[in-house]
Parts: sequence; structure tokens; C-alpha cells
Amino acid sequence: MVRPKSVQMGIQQQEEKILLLLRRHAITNFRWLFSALLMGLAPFVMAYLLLPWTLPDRFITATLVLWYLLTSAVVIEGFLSWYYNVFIITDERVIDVDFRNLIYKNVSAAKIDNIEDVTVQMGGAIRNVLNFGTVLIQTAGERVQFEFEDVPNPQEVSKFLNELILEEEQEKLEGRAR
Amino acid sequence: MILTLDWVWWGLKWVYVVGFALYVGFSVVMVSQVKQMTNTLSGGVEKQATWLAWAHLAVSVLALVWAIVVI
Repeated sequence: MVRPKSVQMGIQQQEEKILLLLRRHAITNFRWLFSALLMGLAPFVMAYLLLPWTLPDRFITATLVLWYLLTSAVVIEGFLSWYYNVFIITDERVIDVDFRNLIYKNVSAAKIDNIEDVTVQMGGAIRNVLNFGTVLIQTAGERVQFEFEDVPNPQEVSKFLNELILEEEQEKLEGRAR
Repeated sequence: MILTLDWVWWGLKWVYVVGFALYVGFSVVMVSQVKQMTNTLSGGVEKQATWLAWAHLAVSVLALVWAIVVI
């Protein structure tokens, strides 16, 4: 998302503008979607395999309810992990919001002028065909490396970041840096 | 058959109840995490995400009550 107007961060500073908001490529959702599909179909297969087993109906219903609740949790958690795992580039900083699962969250930020190196990694056929990959950002800050994983158009992101770094250097030289 | 003994069903019922209770706990964690995430980043689907997390919690509480009463 380029220059998203409605998006705001809790750690956004005054006058800081979000220039780019990146999420993993949509295809990376395939794993949890496929798992959820298998989980959705599993009771039908199990019912066929375990036909000779007989439990009272109330236990079978309870098992199904619990199983489909778990399936819904896989779907909700999969979506939330994708949606809230974002990489943000503002006019001042790069921010990595990691939301791996429901109990792990990490937000890291580095100033643009602390960036020392930007590298793009694209390995594998699917990544090349669908044009997504990882942008590695080396910084001189507390957190040495930022990884924007599986983002679409990584070359463009890298180019954009390099332009921002040059702009920031120019601002420093002209004494306009915030 | 030993499986027809009442105490086996009674024990199994409480195994299920504990399972549902653990699931309610997990749903509570989900609601609190979604709340935190919507504070971190807003301007998108936070209303829907919050609503979904609360609905999920409500369904899991209903399932727990159902497990206690009906099983």
C-alpha cells in the first residue's frame, strides 16, 4: 500500500508520514488456508474410518464442536498473523511489526539515516514467478538487521528505500533533517 | 462392556469440559491480543477483527456452557 491515508500507528510521531505499508504476499496464506481446509474435511474422513466405533451422540457432537472451534481459531489466527505482520516505511523510519502468533508480538524501528545496507533475496521458482521476496536491511542501530519477509515487488521496495536514504543524506547536508 | 459404565462417561464429560474451558482461555488471549494489535496499527479492519475475536469468545463460552449442561 503506497501512502495509505487512513492507516495510523500507535508509535507514530508527530508529522511522521507513512509512505509504504507492506504485508507478505497473499500466496503465503496458502499454508494455513490449506491446513484449515484439511481440518474442515477431516471429520468426514474420520467418520468413515471410525464407523465401527460407537460413542454416545453427545460426545460425537462435542468432539465436532471442539474440532470446528479449533479450525476457526486456525483461520482467525492465520488471517490476523498475516494482516498485522506489517512492514512500514515512513519518511523517518523503517518499522517492523512482528505478530507471529497470539502470544508473540514485537515492534522494532530504525531511523532511515541508520540504514547501512539494503539487500533483496528472492529464492525459488514461486517467488520469482509471483515476484515476491525478502528485503534485508542492515542498520547501525540497536537491532542490526530488519527482515521484510516475502513482500511483493522487493526490488521496488529496495529502490524506494535507497532513494529515501539519499534524500535523508541530502536533508542532513542541507541541515533540514528532523 | 467397561465403556458403558456411567463413571467412564462422567470422566469423559469432564475431560471435554476442561478442553472447552482451555479453549475459552485461548479465546480470551485472542481478544486481548487483537485489542493490542489494533492499538499498534489502525485504519483497516480493526473493527471487524475485534468483532470477530469477541464473537469467537462468545461462541466458545456458549460451547463450554453447553458442554457442562448437555454432555
